[in-house]
Amino acid sequence: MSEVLRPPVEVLYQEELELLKKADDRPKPPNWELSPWAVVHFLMGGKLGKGKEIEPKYFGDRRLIELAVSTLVTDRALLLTGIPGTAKTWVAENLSAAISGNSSLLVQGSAGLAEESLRYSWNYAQLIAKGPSEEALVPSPVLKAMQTGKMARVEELTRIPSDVQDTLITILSEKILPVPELNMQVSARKGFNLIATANDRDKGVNELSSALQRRFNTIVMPLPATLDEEVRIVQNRVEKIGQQLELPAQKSPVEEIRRLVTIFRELRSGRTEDGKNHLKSPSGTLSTAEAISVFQSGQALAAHFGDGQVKAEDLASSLTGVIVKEGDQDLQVWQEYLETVMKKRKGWQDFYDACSTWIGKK
Amino acid sequence: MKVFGIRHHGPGSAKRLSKALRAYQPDCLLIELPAGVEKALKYLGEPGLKPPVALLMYPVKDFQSGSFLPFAEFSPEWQAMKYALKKEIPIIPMDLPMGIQIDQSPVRRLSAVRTDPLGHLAKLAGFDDSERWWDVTFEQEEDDLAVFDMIEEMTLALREGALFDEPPLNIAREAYMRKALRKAIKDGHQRIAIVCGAWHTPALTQWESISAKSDNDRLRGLKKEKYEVSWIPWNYERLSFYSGYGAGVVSPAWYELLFRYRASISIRWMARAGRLLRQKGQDASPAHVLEAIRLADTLTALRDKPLPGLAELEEAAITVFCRGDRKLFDLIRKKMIIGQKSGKVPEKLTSVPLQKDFEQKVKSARLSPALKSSEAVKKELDLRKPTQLSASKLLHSLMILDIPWGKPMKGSQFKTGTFSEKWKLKWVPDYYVKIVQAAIYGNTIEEAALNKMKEKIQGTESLQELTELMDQSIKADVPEVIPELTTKMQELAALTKDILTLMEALPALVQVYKYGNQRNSETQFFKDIIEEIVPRIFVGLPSVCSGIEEEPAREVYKAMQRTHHALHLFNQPDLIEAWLKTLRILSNTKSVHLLIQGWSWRSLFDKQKVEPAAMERTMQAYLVTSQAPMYFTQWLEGFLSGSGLLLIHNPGFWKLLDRWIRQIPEDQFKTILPILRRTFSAFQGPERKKMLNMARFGSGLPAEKTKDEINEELAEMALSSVRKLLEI
Repeated sequence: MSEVLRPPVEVLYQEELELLKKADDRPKPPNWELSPWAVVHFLMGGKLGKGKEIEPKYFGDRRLIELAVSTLVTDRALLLTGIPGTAKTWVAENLSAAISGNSSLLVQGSAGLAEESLRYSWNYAQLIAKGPSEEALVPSPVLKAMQTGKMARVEELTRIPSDVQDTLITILSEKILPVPELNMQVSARKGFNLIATANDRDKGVNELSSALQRRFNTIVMPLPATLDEEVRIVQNRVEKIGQQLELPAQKSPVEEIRRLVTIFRELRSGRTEDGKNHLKSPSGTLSTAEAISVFQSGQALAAHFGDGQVKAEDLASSLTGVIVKEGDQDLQVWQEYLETVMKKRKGWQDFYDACSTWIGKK
Repeated sequence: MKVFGIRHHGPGSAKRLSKALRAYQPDCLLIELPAGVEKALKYLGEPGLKPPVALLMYPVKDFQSGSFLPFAEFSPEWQAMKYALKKEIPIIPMDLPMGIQIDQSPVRRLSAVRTDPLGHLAKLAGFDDSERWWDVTFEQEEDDLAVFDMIEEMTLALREGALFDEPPLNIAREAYMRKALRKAIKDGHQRIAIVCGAWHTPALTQWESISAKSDNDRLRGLKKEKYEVSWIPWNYERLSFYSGYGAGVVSPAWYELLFRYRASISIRWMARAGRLLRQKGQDASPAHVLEAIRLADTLTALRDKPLPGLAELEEAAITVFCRGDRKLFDLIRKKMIIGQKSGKVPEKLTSVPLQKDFEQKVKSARLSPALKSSEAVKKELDLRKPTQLSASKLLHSLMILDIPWGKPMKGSQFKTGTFSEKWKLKWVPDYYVKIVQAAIYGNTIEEAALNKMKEKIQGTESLQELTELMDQSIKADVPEVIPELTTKMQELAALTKDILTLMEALPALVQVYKYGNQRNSETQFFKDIIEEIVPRIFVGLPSVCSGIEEEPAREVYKAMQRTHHALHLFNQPDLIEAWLKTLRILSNTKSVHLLIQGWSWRSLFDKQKVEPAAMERTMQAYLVTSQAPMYFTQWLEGFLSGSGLLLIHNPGFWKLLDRWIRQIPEDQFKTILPILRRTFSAFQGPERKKMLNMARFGSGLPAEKTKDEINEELAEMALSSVRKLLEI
């Protein structure tokens, strides 16, 4: 094992990728390392030949991955959206590792990103010494991917300013990148494509122009499908973070996590877990990541000011804060939830009391 | 002879069957339809008969319990019959006739293979539902005529030649089929085509291995009831789920495309999705359609399927057109998946049980004269009398079925809870057609009204409409829909942001709850939904009342009054207590419109939640803080809200008001006068008379005795005396 904290997927799963390559007898699109079928198999895991096993990388719906891979086969760029904690980046990384054997051609989107990061920049020493020349050109990861026929990745696409985003239009539709300074253009090799990820419910993002939107096939990454799954994720993370923060050890409070995650899931989906009651949803994203943070702050409260056991009161304040974001509207949604769902639920009285007291305080 | 195993409503089967029949050139068609439907089959050639249609079969004696046998254009049986008609060869229904009683009880537990053989095979092939597996395996292999042999072999293997290890009904049915086959052979037919469900194929191919005698023995002594048969129009919606005989299909619209445009199905489907989405304002250009088709094709290849299925097309459409958003696709889902086709049947071919039931009901409700009359007939019904109650139920049920024979007369409130209804009845011959069309919903008026109501409930997204539907259901006496109705109401109530709609729905709900109580019907559902709606109103009200203009405030004000009455009629102490708590919040919130603040104070005062002295102080405070008299007038209107008694019984209020009016500058007084007048003119005549006296002589003097006729004039006098007091 290397000294690197976290090696890229193609290194981490090198062995599996080689196994797949050997076993793969299906047609490969030009410049792909694996056939589409093998790519799906790499992500979803399962048996391979005799006694060989591929570890599953994605624990969701297989159809979604099939859809993603098919999109890349058809030459359309792929946009994975969804709220935080839905494995967008992880899937993008695994796809590019499986398809191109290289997941590092990556542009990290941010509000300060300049066009050069998507196109090319110059090596100024060379530029001054020799004037504009191909040697002085410093290609961006996207340009590199075009030249080598590989997958490029753009993280947090919607954080990039709109005018910079639009640089991608020509690249995606014409598959060329003009370099006017050198009076030339770079044409993408076969196998080039782009996988972008974006958070679709965050505030302060730059919506894609419809021209750019048209170049992408969009797949919305779903949240954990079942309550148990989400509880497991939250519990797992809460325990790990608790160790890092060196909070006093305590019994794993599964019951409280379950109640918290239930609230999150119900408000998010606009439906009670038993499917009987419909609810309004607040404006916030209520991602799994937020559930983790609510629980964590409750844990801190309990550890430092309570008896160490997370109780409803410890969760009420940060829970209210996460749900009530846009003032009156959200408050109303939350109050309705308290009055029509929580109040009637057996064994939830403490939660109801804690939360309604907290709203009263506000 | 040749046996053609098909899947009912399988478009691939239909296509293949047509081809196979053309190749085989049969001289007779044996088909898996109940013997006895021949008399309906002879109308197959009628030009007016257009699928989807259904054969409706019902016992002559007990016509309510009929069953349907639907056919779409893509049903293999329909195609087979069309072929036979064209070639003028006889069509022989070979299945057990309707109305044969088979003892079903001693069925022992069957293995998984037997209870759901196709499901079992599908599972083995890695599919989670047999429908899809059949589609992929058989329906898509279009040109291969050998598929029929394959199907036969497969079922033979499944049944392991053990033809009698079946439920008694199936054994009897297959015995009957063989009997029909023997008869056809005896009649001299040489090339017999047998069209039946795939499962039955071995029973027929191996007919010689079973003796005619054993089959006859099996069928001997079965009692048979007399059945009537008729064609009725059907539609894709009804075809899309289980009803009566035979299984429904998941996606009639898809099957139709599969049947008609097999080669270009992806293009047709996707182009249609694109067009529908464009109509919904989505960005769905032909370029998108192309991309979506390419994606669906790739996906199909990736999944090792010969042709894109509905799943692939749908996923591709969602990804390309809807930016991954399923909800957008839901807008067109019904049109894309179920479709909207309705069949046609010439009027002369139909005689449906629903008609008979209707006629019977008309008779027993003593409405026959009204039915025969060509003039409009007026009728007042006393619901305490059973005959007239049944007439009322019938008329309301017909209204549900969109047959407005009776119309509620003006002035007749039709309030639930009263015992009298006034109707105007006018029969239009078109209504007979409507009854035939309604036969699709059931064989009795009740059943049809129930199913139609269910459809209406599914079709609406408006709380108000649901409230109306609820009212209709109660009056037509179809309580079976109540659970579904209240569930949907609950759903909409939870999602609506419009508190006013909830407030509008509440009084009606409470009325039905109370009325239901009188009729001993199931009222728990209403109680649940009321208790569900009310807290939502309480929570949402403060923001609804805040920062609004006068006009919407007036609307909310009226709705609040109705809510107030409804809650008191519902009479649940904790809800009333919570309501008063809400009013308390409203009365103390500055941003709430003054009209509503005033009314909230009044209600709290009436409920003795505010002491008179405190109320006086509050009024004083409002007087002082109102920057312009206009504002206070609004508060006052709400506070007095149509009754002046308050002022008469509380001299303190009167004096405050009196003093206030005196100090208003003249120009401002003119602007508030119309509002004051509106407030005061809403009072009862005697109240106004008394106030006039109070204004004239001070509140200490006893009032003159007055009569009721005093009204508008005296109000004017009151105002003119106020004017005098103010020396205008």
